[in-house]
Amino acid sequence: MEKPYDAIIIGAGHNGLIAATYLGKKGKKVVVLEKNTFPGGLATRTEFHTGYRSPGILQDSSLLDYKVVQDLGLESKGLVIQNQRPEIMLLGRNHDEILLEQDAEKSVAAIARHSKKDAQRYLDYLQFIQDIRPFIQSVFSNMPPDLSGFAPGQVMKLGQLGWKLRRLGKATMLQLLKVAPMCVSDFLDEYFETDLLKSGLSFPALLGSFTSPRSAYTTLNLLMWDCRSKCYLPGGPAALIDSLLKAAESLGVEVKMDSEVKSIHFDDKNCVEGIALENGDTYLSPIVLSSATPRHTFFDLVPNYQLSFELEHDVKNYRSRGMTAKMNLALDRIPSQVKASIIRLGSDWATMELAFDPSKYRQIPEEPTLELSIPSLGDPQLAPEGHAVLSILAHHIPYNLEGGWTDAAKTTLSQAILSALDSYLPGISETIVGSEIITPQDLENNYGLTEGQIFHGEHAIDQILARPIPSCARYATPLAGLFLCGSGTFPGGGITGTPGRLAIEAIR
Amino acid sequence: MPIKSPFFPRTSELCTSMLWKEWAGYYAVNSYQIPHDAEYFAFRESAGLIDITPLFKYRVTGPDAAEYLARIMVKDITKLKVGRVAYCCWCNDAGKIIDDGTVMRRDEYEFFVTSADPSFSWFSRFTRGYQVELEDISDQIAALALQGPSSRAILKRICDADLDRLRFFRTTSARSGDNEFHISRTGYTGDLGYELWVENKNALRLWDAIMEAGADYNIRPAGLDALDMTRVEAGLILKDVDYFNAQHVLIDDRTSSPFEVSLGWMVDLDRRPFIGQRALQLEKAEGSAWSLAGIELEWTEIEDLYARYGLPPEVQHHAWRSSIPIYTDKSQGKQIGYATSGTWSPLLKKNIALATLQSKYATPGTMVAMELSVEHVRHTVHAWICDPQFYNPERKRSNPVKDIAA
Ligand SMILES: Cc1cc2nc3c(=O)[nH]c(=O)nc-3n(C[C@H](O)[C@H](O)[C@H](O)COP(=O)(O)OP(=O)(O)OC[C@H]3O[C@@H](n4cnc5c(N)ncnc54)[C@H](O)[C@@H]3O)c2cc1C
Repeated sequence: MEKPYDAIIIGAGHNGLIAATYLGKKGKKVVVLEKNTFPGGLATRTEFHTGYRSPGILQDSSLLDYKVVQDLGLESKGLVIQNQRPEIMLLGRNHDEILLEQDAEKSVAAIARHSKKDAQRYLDYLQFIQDIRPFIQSVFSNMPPDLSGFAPGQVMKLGQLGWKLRRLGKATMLQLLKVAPMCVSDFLDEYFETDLLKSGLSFPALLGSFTSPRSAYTTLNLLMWDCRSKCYLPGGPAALIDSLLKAAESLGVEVKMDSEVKSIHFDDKNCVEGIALENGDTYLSPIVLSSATPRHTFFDLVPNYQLSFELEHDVKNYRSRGMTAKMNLALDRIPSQVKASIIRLGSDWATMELAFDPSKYRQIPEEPTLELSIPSLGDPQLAPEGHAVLSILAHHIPYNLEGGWTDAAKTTLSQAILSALDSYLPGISETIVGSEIITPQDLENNYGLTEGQIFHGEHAIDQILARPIPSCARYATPLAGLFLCGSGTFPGGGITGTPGRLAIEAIR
Repeated sequence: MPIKSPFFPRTSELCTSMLWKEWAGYYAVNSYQIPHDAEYFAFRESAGLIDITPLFKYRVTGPDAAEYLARIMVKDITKLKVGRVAYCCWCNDAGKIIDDGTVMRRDEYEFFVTSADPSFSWFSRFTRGYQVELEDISDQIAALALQGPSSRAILKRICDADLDRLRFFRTTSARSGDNEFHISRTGYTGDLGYELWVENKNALRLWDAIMEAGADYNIRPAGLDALDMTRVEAGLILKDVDYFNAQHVLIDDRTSSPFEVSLGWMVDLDRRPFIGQRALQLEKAEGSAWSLAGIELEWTEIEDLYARYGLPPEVQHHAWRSSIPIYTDKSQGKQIGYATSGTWSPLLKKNIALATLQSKYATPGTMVAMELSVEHVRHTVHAWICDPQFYNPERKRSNPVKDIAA
């Protein structure tokens, strides 16, 4: 047994590394323990076909919390960050397209080719996003309010929040309060008439969750993304991990691979005492931060008798249904139709609802809703020269597939994805030289995601504001010395780094 | 409509009073004859036989069964040895009682648990991570309580169990002819007595054997009215009367911790975490707001009160269970608690009650005043705080064979 650490961090995903680096900056003796042989968690670069690499399992790194970059000096560690959200191409089945660019005028012109009215309304939409952005950003980048009691300090914090909301002006405030609980289809119908535009804009509202465009509160998810999505990492998530590792190392933070935590240990006062690894090694520390999923942390790592009834019950009921599959394709050329690194294959509400329905019955949709990215456009080193890596997110693919994720089921899924892809990008299948399919089950097995849920738990209003569960909503847990710091905490999943940053504030 | 216990063919024939009530979904006899006195005296002077099938019953099996139960119960069940029975309660996270019952360790990996309320839903919340199987066997097992000074002698006549050595709160399997059942030396009368657990299909044979063997001892089938008097005499609390299931109350004020209902002795605080531990540790450190105590009413004052109206003193014929205010003194200065159930004890010749009092007034010997209505007018009479175990005969725990190994 070694000298105690000031803190042990479970998991070397981006949030775990960020929490560790903040602690390192404070001069703490910290160790990060990662079960995989590589760091980065979901943000890990992998070679899925000889010569072709994916820069991490997720595609969008536009939500990164710039305060983290600044606080930890990541740019000096080689992180390249552009202050602009990447362009997004909305592509229809009939080869219609709309390119949404940073320059609003250009987007308006693209939309006007479909509908003059929509083009005008798009400016209104952007204006609304811009108006509410300061409020949403402030809510989602600060410690969440404590809803458990009415301590004077907390009431003041809530009051400040109310004041910020009021400062939006009456009209904007009322509009925000009105639309946030809406389903995203109703919300976008109020603005637009063009199906491709509406369905394309709605994608962020659906990512990861057991929801379709007509599900309640999906507008909130859209607003959360649209207000916060504002940057671009040409190197993808993996570049973030590279810079974080450098920063951590320079501060003396130990990062150990191949170190799967088996259990968290408590002393006879029921305070955290340390952890034990699968290989039998033990590490001592009065503080453990877990960036693994809440369910894994509480149900697999903490002895069950440490859980109160409420904790057991709440963790069990924390909704974490995996709904996303991933496919990586190695292409022998860069697809000619493609005008942006992110492409959303749009349709209309009815088609999207139909693609969602089978998941309710544990089936694979015939025409899954797909979101593409071509990371090799940002980082050409991911593929041989002139070739491309195409990453696909398929929505509404159930974790609990009837009959399980057999090889046959994987083939069915791949075929459904490729046939949908071909109908949007004819001929693309002929350019495929290699591929990889990752089902929600694979996400659980290989990345430790409970039920393959990509955000460590669904983004739904109740699970965002008190995330993951009320008694753990501010990173501390009811178990003395145990903290959560991964995507299962406020403000949720995605490459933001905010959970890792805020979790540190909870440690006293 | 209530359902019939496996003993119904016998109990219904014997219940000439037609006085029934519903108990946990079953028909249960209040008293077999209109006056229940004979049944009360059977419990105290010979033996009474009561159908307790309506209790809920669970079987818990598996290598982790003891650990699992230790997490739920306030008592450390891992320490319960095979063949022993624990009376215990279980709490919610706030350390407030949900229900109470007995836990019997029949084997290293096999427990039998009884409860007053359906408990499967609560128990099943905690099975995750344990190698344990929880079965609700409530409607597979019929149960009888044979209570009273002659109960041992009667039981010895019909089965092979070594009852002279079976100590208080022990359990054993037994055989009567080819009828197998389980015996625990437990009960709700505070006297020598046994509870018998038998498969439904063998229930009537067991009843008949006991009644036949008991005839020489003046055995009587007994109902809930007589039981209620004996349990007050023994100071045994009753859910929904002296305390409430913390999951069923509308306001937190109605909940009670084990310490507040004199079950503190069963709480094993300093051990592996169990449900409610933190709250109970805190309560232990800070002291409990309420305590349960026995009270004994001042008989001469009752006589005087009735005399004022030209009446002889009256006592209630049944045990009562309504909340009655208790004050510091007879001028009704300050209410310090309430009685929850009470009875006239024919054996002790005393008017007794169980009361919940602010802790500082609950010391035995303290004089308080309890409300008493005579001729539609509320009065108060003095009462003395005492140990709630009003009646506790030596035979309850003793064995004829003294030299038994522990
Ligand atoms: C298919 C997919 C697509 C996504 N798309 C997007 C997207 O487009 N945009 C977006 O913003 N977000 C997206 N996300 C979500 C985003 O990737 C995650 O929310 C984020 O990466 C999680 O980071 P983290 O640091 O919180 O956790 P993780 O990256 O999951 O890190 C947790 C780490 O803990 C380790 N670990 C777990 N258990 C143990 C243990 N017992 N011992 C030691 N180590 C352990 C794991 O191996 C892992 O490395 C996507 C996710 C997936 C799966």
